[in-house]
Amino acid sequence: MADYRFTFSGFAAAEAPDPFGVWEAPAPDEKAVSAAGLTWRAALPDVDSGLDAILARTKSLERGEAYLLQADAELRATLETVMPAPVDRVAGTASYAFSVPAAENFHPQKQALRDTLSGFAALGAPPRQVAALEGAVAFGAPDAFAEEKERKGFQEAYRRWLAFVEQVKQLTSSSSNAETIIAGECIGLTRIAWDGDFETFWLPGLSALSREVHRQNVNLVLASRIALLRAASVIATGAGGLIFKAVVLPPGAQALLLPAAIRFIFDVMDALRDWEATQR
Amino acid sequence: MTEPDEKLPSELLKEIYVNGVDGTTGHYSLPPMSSELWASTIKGESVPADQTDLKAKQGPARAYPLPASVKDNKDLSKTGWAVVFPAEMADKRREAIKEALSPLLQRRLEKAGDLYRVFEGESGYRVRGETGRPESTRDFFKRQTPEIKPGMPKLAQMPYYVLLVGSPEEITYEFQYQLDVMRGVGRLDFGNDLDAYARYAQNVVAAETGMVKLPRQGTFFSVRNLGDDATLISDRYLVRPLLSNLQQPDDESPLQFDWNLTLAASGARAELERLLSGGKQTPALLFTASHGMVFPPDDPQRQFREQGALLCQNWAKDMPVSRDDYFAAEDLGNANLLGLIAFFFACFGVGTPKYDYFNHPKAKTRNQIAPYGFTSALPKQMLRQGALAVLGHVDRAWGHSFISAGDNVANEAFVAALRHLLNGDPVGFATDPGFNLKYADMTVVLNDNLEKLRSDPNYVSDEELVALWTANNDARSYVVLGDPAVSIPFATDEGTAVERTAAPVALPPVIVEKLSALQADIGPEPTAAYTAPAVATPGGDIKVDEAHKALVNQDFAIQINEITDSLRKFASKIAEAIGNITQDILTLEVRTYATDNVKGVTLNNAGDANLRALTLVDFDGDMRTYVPTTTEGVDEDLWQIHREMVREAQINRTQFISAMAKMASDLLDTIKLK
Repeated sequence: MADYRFTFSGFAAAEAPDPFGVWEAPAPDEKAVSAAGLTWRAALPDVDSGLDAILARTKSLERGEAYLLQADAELRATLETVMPAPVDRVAGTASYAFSVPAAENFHPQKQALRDTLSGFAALGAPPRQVAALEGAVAFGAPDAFAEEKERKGFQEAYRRWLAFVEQVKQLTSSSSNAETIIAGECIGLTRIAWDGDFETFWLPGLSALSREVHRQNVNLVLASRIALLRAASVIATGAGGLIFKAVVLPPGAQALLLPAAIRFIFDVMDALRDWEATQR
Repeated sequence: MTEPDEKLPSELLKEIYVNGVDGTTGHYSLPPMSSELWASTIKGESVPADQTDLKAKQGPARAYPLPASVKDNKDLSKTGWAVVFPAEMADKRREAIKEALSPLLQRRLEKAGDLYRVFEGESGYRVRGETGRPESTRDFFKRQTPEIKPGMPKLAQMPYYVLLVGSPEEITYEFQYQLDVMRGVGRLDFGNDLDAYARYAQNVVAAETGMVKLPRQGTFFSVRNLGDDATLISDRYLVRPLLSNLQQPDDESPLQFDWNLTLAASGARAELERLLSGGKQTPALLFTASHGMVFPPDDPQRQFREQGALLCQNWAKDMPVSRDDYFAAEDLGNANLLGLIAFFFACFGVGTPKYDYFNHPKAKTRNQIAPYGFTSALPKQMLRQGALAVLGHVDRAWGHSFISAGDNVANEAFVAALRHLLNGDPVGFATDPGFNLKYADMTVVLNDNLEKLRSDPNYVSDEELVALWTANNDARSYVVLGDPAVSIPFATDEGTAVERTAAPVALPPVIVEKLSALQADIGPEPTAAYTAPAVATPGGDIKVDEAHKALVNQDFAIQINEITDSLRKFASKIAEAIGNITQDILTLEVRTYATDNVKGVTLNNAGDANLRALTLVDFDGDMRTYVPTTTEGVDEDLWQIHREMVREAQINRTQFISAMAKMASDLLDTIKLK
C-alpha cells in the first residue's frame, strides 16, 4: 500500500493533534528539509496519486472548517441552555450545577462541558455586581472537582489549550515551509515568511503535473494556517460566551474557560469526523 | 446520663449555644463552648471610650426614650423622622432610590413637617470617615451643622425615627447599633432594585391608609429539633414563656387590645409555608424561634440567597440539611404579606457582618465569614412582598440571652418589644425599652467589669462575664429592617378588619415605566468591592477537607495565572506582529528559484539556487516582475506557476492578516485585556 504522509512539525511537540484531521506529527527521526521555521510536508509515493491525495486532504480540511462552524453553533446553542439549577441536597458536593440538557447528537460533549464547568464552582465569586444578571450561572459548590474524572477532564483540556496556543504562537511568528516530496525526493519547497513573502525552490525539469502537486500542497498549507487561526477565534469567542454565563468566576479565572471551550469545540469536531468516517 | 429534657437551664448554660446550623455539614456553625474558654476572649476586649449615649440610656432615657413633651410615639410631628443615605452613594443612584421611595418620603414629610430631615451627600453617613475608618455615631454627629450632641435626642437636630438606606458596607451595622441606643432605627437595603424600594414605599402607605386592617392574630412558630439543645432552650425558655406572658394580664404594660396569640401547629416547614403564604393565612405578627442557616464564606451566592433562612422541624442534630428542611426567600412565592411585622430569633436572621464577632477564643483575629456584610434575603423579600418590618438578629443569636445565670427565664426584652408592637407602637420604638436599654445596661456593666478585671483578675467569675458579654452582644445585634416608624396595621374594633388580597398589589404602570428608565440608568446592582474571603481557621485547627480544598484552589490559582499570563504575552506578541506586518506590508515579494539541491536551501541562504522569477507587489498595487527566460525565451511553465504563486501570496497575505487580527481581537475580548 502506498504511503501518504502529511506532517506538520508544529504538532511534533504538542499534545494536541490537528483539530481538522489533515496533518499529523512527524516521526521522531524525520527531519525537515528546511530546519528553520515550521515545516508542512506532504510525502507522496508518486505524482498522480499524490495530487489526488492532496486534493482529498483539501476537501477534508474544508469539511473540518464546516465542522468548526457547526461546533461553534453547538457551543452557542448549548450556552443558551446553560442556566442555574439548584441541586436538591445541601450536604454534598454541589449546591448549584450547570443545567445543560441532554442533546441527541452531542450529549457526551455537553456532559463533559457541564462537568468541567461545574468543577469551577469552588473558585469563589465576586457576587454582588453580577448576581442580578439574568441567566448568570451561580457557582457555589463547596468542593472543587469532587469527581476525579472532572478534574482529569479539565487538566486534559488545559494541556490541550496550552499546546494549541503554542502552535498558534509559532504559526504567527515563524515562517512556514511547505515541502513536497515525491518518492523520497523533494521536488518543491515554498517558504512563506511571517509577513507573507513567498520563496519557492523547484527541482529543475519538473513536469507540469509535478509543479501542480506542489502548488496544491502550498494551497493546502496556506488554508491550514488560516483554519487554525479561525479555530483560535472560535474558541476565544466560545469562551467569551461561557464567561458571559459564568460571570461569577473570580477575577482572572475567565481564562480557565478557554480550555473548556477548546475541549468542547474539538470534541464536537472529532465526533463529526468520526460520524463522517462511518458514512463511508 | 442526663437526657436533654431533664437538664436544668444552668446545666445547659455551661456550654454556650448559638442558633446557627451550617447548611453544608448539618453541624452547629459554632460548636458549643465552655464559659471558661469564652471568657478568655472577652477579657481581652477593650472598653469603648465614648459611653455618653449608653449612660444617657441608663439615666434620663431609661423609662421613656423620647423627651417628656412627646407623649405620642406615633406622632411624627413631635418625634421627627429622618432618612440617612451614604455620603459616598452616587447622586444619580440616590436620586433614583429617592424617586422610588417618594410615596413614603412624601408621607413622612407631611407627617413630620419641620422635623423631617434628609442626611445625604456631605451630611450623609461616611463609611470612610476622617480617620479612614467607618464613622461612629460620635463622628457622624460632630460633622453635622450644627453639631449633634449625644445623649437624650434633640429631635430638631436628629429626629427620633431614623431610616438608613444602604447596605451594611455603605452604612455599617455598628453605626446602626450605636444610633439605635437613643433612637428608633431601621434599614432598607435593596441595592439598586428600584422596584423593591417602590413596592415597599407603596405597601407602607397602603397599610397606613387603611388598605388593610388586620385581624389581631399573633402566631408563635417554635422549632424543636431532635437531639438539639439550642432549640430545646429556645422552645422551652423563650417561646412558651413569652407566649404565656403575653396571654396574661400585666398591670405595668397592659395590652390595650385583645389579641389571639397562638402557638403554631408545629415547627414543620409546611406550617411556616402556610403562615407565610399570604392572605388570611398570614397573621399580623409572626414570631419565630429556630436555627438560622449558615453557609461558608467561599459560597457567597448561597450566603446571599439563603443565609439566615429558617431551619424547620425535620432536621435532627448533626444530620445533613436538605433544602426541604429550611424556608428561604425563594419559598415565599407571590404571597401578599401586606402589613405583617415579623420577629425572627435565629442566627443571621436579618443580616451577616463581614467579620465574625464571635471568634473561637483561641483565634488571634476575627474570622471573615462573608465577602462583605449583607442583609438576609428572606426578610428583604418579605419587605418586598408587603411586610412592613422584620426584626431579627445580625450575626449569631444566643440562647444564653433569655436565661439568666440563676436559672431564671430572662426574656424581658422580648416581652417588652412584643407588648409594644401589639399595642400598635412603631417598631423602632418597640425595641427600645427592651433590647436597647438592655444593651446599654449590659455594656456599661460589662465595661466596668472589664476595667476592674485588669487590676483584680478574680473580680468577676468567668460564667458571669460570659453571661454579661453574650447578653450585651445579643441585645445590641437586634435590628429592624424596614421603616422604624411603621406599626402593625390591625383592626382596633371588632368587625372592622380589612383582610389582605390574595396577591400583592402591582405598581401602577406609569411608575413601572418611570422606574424602568431610572433602573436602566443606574444599572442592576451597585458596585461592591469584593475581597476574596481569607478564611481564618480557629486555633490553626485546619480540617482535612479544608486543607484539600485549599490545595486544589491553590493549584487552580497557579493555572489561572499561567493561562492568563501566557495569553497576555501571546496577545501582545500578535499585536506586535500585526504592527510589524503593517509596516512591512508596503511590498510583497514572491521569488521563484530553480535548484538541483532543494535540501541545500536554508533560511537566509538560497544556496546555489538560481533566481528565475521575482515579483514585487507594492501596497498601491503596482507590480514589478522579473520574467524567467531560457535560451529559447521565456520559460512559460515556470512563468505560469510563478504567476499563480503571486496570486496565492496576495490572497494569503490578506486572509492571514485578517484572521490573525480577528483572533487577536477575540482573545483580547475574552481575557479582557482591552
